[in-house]
Amino acid sequence: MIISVRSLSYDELKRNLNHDDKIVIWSCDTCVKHCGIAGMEKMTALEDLLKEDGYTVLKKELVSESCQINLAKKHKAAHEDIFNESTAIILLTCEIGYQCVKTVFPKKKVIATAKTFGSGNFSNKKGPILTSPLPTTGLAPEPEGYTLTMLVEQFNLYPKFFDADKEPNPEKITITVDGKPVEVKKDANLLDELSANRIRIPHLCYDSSLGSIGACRMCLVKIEGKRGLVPSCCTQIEEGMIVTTEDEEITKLRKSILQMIIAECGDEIQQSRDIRYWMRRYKITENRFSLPKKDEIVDDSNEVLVKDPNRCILCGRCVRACANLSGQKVINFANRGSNTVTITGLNEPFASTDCAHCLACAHYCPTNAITPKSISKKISGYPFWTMITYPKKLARTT
Amino acid sequence: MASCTIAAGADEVLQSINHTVNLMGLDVEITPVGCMGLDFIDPWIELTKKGYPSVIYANVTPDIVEQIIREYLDEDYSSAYAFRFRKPDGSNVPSLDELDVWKNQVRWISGKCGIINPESIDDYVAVGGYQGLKKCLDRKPEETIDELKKANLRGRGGAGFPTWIKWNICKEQPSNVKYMIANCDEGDPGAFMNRLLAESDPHRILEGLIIAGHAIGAHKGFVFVRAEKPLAAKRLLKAAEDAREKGFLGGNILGSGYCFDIEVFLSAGAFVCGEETAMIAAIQGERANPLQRPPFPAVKGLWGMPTIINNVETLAHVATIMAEGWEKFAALGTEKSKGTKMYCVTGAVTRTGAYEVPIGTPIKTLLYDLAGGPPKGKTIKAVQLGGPSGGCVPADRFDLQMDYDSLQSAGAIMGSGGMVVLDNTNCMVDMARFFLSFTTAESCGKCSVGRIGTRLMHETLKRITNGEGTADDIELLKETSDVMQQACLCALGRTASNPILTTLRYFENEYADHINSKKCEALVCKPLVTYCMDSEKCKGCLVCVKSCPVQAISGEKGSTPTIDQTKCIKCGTCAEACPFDAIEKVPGMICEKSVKLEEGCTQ
Ligand SMILES: Cc1cc2nc3c(=O)[nH]c(=O)nc-3n(C[C@H](O)[C@H](O)[C@H](O)COP(=O)(O)O)c2cc1C
Ligand code: FES
Repeated sequence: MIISVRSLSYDELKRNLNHDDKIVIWSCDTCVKHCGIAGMEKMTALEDLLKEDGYTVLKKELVSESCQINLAKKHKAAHEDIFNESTAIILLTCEIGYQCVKTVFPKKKVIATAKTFGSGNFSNKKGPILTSPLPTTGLAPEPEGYTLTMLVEQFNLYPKFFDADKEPNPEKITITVDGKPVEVKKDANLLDELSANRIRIPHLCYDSSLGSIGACRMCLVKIEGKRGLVPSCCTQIEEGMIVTTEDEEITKLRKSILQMIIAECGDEIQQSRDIRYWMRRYKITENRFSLPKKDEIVDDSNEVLVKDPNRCILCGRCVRACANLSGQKVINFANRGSNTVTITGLNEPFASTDCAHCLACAHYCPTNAITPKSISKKISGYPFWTMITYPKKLARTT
Repeated sequence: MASCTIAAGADEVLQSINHTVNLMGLDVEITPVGCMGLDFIDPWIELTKKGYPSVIYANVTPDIVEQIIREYLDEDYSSAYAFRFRKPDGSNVPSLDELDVWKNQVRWISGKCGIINPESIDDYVAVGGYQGLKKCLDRKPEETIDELKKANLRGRGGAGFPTWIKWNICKEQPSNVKYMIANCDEGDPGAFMNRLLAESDPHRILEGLIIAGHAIGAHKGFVFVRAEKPLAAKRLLKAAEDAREKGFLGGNILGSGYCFDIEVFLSAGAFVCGEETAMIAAIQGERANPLQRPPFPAVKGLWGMPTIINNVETLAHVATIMAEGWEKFAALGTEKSKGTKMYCVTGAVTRTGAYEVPIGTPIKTLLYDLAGGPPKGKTIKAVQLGGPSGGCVPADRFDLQMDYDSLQSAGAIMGSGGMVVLDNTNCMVDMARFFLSFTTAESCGKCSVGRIGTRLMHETLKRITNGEGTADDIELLKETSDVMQQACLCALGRTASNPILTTLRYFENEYADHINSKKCEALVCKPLVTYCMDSEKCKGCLVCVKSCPVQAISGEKGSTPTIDQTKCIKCGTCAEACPFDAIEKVPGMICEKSVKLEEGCTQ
């Protein structure tokens, strides 16, 4: 992965903006995110800061890899009208990403926020490590690599994201969750805010970067005044909400749903982290339901990805990641009812599709049905990027 | 000439009429009209001449056309089905109003079906068409909605939600782009009233749609038609073209300054497309997956704009109410549900068809007085109401009034109004299995509970009808159904278990038969029936041996052959082939007669 460090303070950022600027915040979802200075959460934090200071933020654009210029172009095309209206784009990307985005928006004010040092990898203990510095940095090759802290000190940069300079203070309200008062952001997504308050709700199809579709039904909660159970991932927070996240009925339901999902997919998916966690949490040891096993062909034609339909729970995260983050729409659903499947391209081998190899799909798959090649055999419960030094292609760009 | 009459041979009859009229040198006007809903008389023709009564002839075939015309001109009406209006004195043939099937109906919206030419806007205008629209354009949208409120019209698409409330919510939205959609998807098996309306009186739907558009402030509408109903789509398209030409549709409608235009949208063709949010997705060019509600379409619908979706029958009611006034409408029906509803009665009755009756009419009246009861030799066991989301009502509850609330209490729903009548040759378990196979295949597959739950229930029912069921399967069905009712994303999943729950409630004995005694009394589930040889009737002719496609029967000439039950595929060919009716289909997995015989031999 590419190693970058924030190079701009919040005040410097503001100096680059006019007060009436219409801002789009644009972030990569890969390397810089793992360097701790990009991604959906960071965009939201920056948005909160800017809004508090009276700026107008039109949109947050999450892109799987901005360094692929065709993906950047697709994102522009998908929301042409908003980009036309905008007057400034703040980038949470590396410098290569900056060059691409600037090429796509030659006439716009594009503000870079990071300095890029070269490529490296991610270690669980030390975090991102720079192993191959760019010649322009003047850094000598170092067998152990450079940690972010070393870079921050040596180059006088910023160790954390903008919200470390100044705590964002969005409008908060208090709602009641399981009988206790909880402080949450007004109008925000209920599931997000519950997670932020360390109230864990099982969810397989939702991710704050991808948006909600309410497909897996694991996140159902009770809200006073609403009929039946409602998926918390599709619920906007309202004043005075009284939420029950766990009771006998909900637990029973979640157990059944999880068992159903496992029955459909077969036992293999029990190895994936999310499923394993919730099985343990709900003490599921056997399955009430059983269905004939799927027996589909694993597609390993793609250079970097392996797709195993037998592990797919049809949560649609890969579909949305491919459409929203890469803009490619290579993965989609086909058929209907119980014959629904995900397909690549027009139901062709993964290799013959437009896949941009951005790995967004693999990153968001909760059951390792799509995995990057290097770890597909090991099937671990950890996010793939902790294991690999993958930016083969990126290295080429640099 | 609607799909149903054409299927029964109306095209050939029309050709024959043209031909005959030419040969006879008659000066006549031939008008193709829509369907009256009396499907058992298809194809029918009506002859009218000045000074003569209007006469309806049933089940006409091309070769009797000439004879009919000659008799009619000779004032001999003996072979007629009925007179449209008053009958001449002394005739044996009844008038329509004397027929059970007609006099028990209140044809409020279907009154012009089968009378006017559906492809002629002039016909529609001549019977008072577009008068309601004129009234509505002359007044404020609030007044239209108020009129509907007084009429208390509830949606005819299934849920029975008060139409005026929905419209009002949408009207109050500040957006200046809004959409109006007419739902003519009608995907449930056994229902065809929407198709019938669209094919026989398309302008009425269009008029309702324009009125609705005006009331909520929309300028663009869609008619969402199932692609499998091409004739309905064609007629709606033609209706829209004609209406545009006459100034009822398009810019500045009737000089009022109001603009509204429509598009006919052909559905992608799954049952789930009938669901509002799935329909919106389909029109947007996406996969027809339902969305979590709220937000409701009336607030955020098509392309994010406030959108109202109404069933076409609801819209036909709107047009009629606006023309005739709410008082007449509200005089019909029950306290809580006003007006009339169209029902399609199919299955084990003598007169299948689409009938319109006031809401609250007992099931009995529809099945016996209108549809004529069961065919000879059969008894009605139950009726499945509301298609795959509905439930069955057993014969001993046929006093039940058909309104939204009474049906709900019996476990069924009004739904679109499809009624599939089941008799003693129908197996209730198999019926439930059929509906589950339908929902399994015709759902969207988006939400885990709906997708897996329907499949689980379908697999379980398959096991039971295959004779592999266990007592635990009933529990499994109930548990799955519980989860689905609570957790599914859309109403399809939440109601998919209704056919199972109601059959379990009213026909638990049939499930017990299948699971414990391994037999299907209705002789439907193949693995649970057996073909038996009756040696007393058998003459040893060996016709059955030759007829068997899998060589499961063997024997010598002159003696009774034996059926090898392990080879038998239960196709029934032998039973049909036997000239002496010596092969009998009996419930159960073993042939009790032959078992007894064998036992007798060994003793
Ligand atoms: C699975 C499913 C299928 C449906 N199919 C139809 C249909 O074929 N026609 C229809 O009018 N409404 C159908 N509905 C109901 C619609 O979602 C909607 O409630 C209706 O069109 C509203 O119109 P109304 O207010 O005039 O009744 C269906 C609902 C579900 C959940
Ligand atoms: S996370 Fe809410 S339904 Fe899947």
